Amino acid sequence: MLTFLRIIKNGFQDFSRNIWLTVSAVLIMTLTIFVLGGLLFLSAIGENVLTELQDKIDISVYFATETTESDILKVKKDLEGLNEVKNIEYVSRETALSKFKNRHADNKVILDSLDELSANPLSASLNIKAKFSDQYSKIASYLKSDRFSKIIDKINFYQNQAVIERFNEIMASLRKFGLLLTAALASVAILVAFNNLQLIIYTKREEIGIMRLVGASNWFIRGPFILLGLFYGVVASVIASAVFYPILSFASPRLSALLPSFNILSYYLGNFWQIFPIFLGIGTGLGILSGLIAIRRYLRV
Amino acid sequence: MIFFDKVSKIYSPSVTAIEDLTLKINPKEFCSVVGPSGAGKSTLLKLLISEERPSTGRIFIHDQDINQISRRRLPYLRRKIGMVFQDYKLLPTKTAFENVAFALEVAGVNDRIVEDDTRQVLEIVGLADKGSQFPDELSGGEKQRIALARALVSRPDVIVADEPTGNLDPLNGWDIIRLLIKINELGTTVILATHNQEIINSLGRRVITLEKGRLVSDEEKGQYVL
Ligand SMILES: Nc1ncnc2c1ncn2[C@@H]1O[C@H](COP(=O)(O)OP(=O)(O)OP(=O)(O)O)[C@@H](O)[C@H]1O
Ligand SMILES: [Mg+2]
Repeated sequence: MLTFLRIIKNGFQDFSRNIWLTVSAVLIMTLTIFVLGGLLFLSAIGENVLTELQDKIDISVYFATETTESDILKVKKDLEGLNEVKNIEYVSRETALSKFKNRHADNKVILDSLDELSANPLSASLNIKAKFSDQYSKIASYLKSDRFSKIIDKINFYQNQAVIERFNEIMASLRKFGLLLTAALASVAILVAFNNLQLIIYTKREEIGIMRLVGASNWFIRGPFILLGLFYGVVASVIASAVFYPILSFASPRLSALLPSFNILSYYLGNFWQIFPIFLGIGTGLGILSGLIAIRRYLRV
Repeated sequence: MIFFDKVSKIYSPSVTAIEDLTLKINPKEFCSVVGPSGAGKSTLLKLLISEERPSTGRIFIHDQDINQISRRRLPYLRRKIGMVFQDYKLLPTKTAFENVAFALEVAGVNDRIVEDDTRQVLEIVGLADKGSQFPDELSGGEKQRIALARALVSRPDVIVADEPTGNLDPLNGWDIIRLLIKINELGTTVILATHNQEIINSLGRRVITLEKGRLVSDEEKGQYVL
């Protein structure tokens, strides 16, 4: 207990008497957390862009005009039983017609020729969205089965198959590349911080040796470093998360102009209690670990 | 009892600091180690606190082979030996008072005793008024006396002093030597490495002479001969 109090006392004495070392250690950790936080937000943005793109894709199944609505709804129900399906929108022949008319409201020729037809020429359809874009071929082949062949007129997946598959490839490689890039940048940030902290502790190597020679135990020497590492980590993560607020407030409206479905500021605030512990973990982990590793080297006296 | 059994210290193939040294120092003895610069005096003392490890041979303190002591137990050995380093080895971020107190703190002595003993020993070395200064703000001689105070404060069985008068004027130097003699009379083993011929000659105690790492003479009431 006495020893523990002394360790705390020594730690804080060190902290206040080496104000420049303290400032630089905290600064390095803050910057690292900041970079890692930035990577976190960038990958959140990237993920959102990809999801948004993915959401633009769907496939439509057109039914033969004589198919009854209850048959179509039955198909819809069947499809909803599939794991891959996210949602299905039913467009009846009437809805299709009125949508068509709306779209061509200013084209007299089309409207007139439409009026000349006695029956509604448009088919009813189901617009199917899959959970992931690589699941469309599975859904399409399900619909291709004999069971449906009488009532289904056309599945537009087969017109767009090449495009969808290409899209899937791009998505997959974008994700892989993004992950790799994030991992690489994160490791660089951590390594740089780690090296800097090693340098700071390097300036203390002589003191560590002296302490050993006058009879201090390893824990008595390590204690203050661990304590300071912990403390710097906490301070750095608080600073970094505070600094993110004005930056994201500034970036948020500009980003929303490009990506309307995503608000980075509310993402940050909404997930704060998940994000802050990550920052805290990085900061304190970095502080304590680099302390332990560096000191180990100088305790060999 | 301290016993060096055929000890050699080879820093590198070309530098042999101690060569095949066998030596016994009894408890409560006052023993000086002399020899020209580079003779291996400091190395001998460093071996004693395991700052350096012998290349061959063994060193016993109270019948314990100090090479067998694990790193974890080493602090206990060092707390029993008060070392005054030739280069002082004061902690630059601690005041003179804190430097001395540190030797007690590491041993888990309670705060009141740390406070009292530190104050007392600072008075003994004549630096009671310099306690709040940092090593950078002390003269060479003052640093030396703080280093001595740190070695004394925990009342060790053995005091090992490497040139403790090196930076002092004759008057202050003699003060330190008289202090060491007094501590020795109270029952502490004292091992003193020095160049100072005048001190050695008037001490009339055991003198061990080293030359190029070899023991060349060991006399009960020795003189400084070169
Ligand atoms: N860490 C070291 N690495 C390599 N050589 C060393 C080391 N320390 C000392 N030596 C060498 O060992 C020899 C003995 O050095 P030591 O410091 O024991 O001498 P000394 O008798 O204390 O000298 P002085 O009177 O100048 O203090 C010297 O030749 C020195 O260069
Ligand atoms: Mg020396």
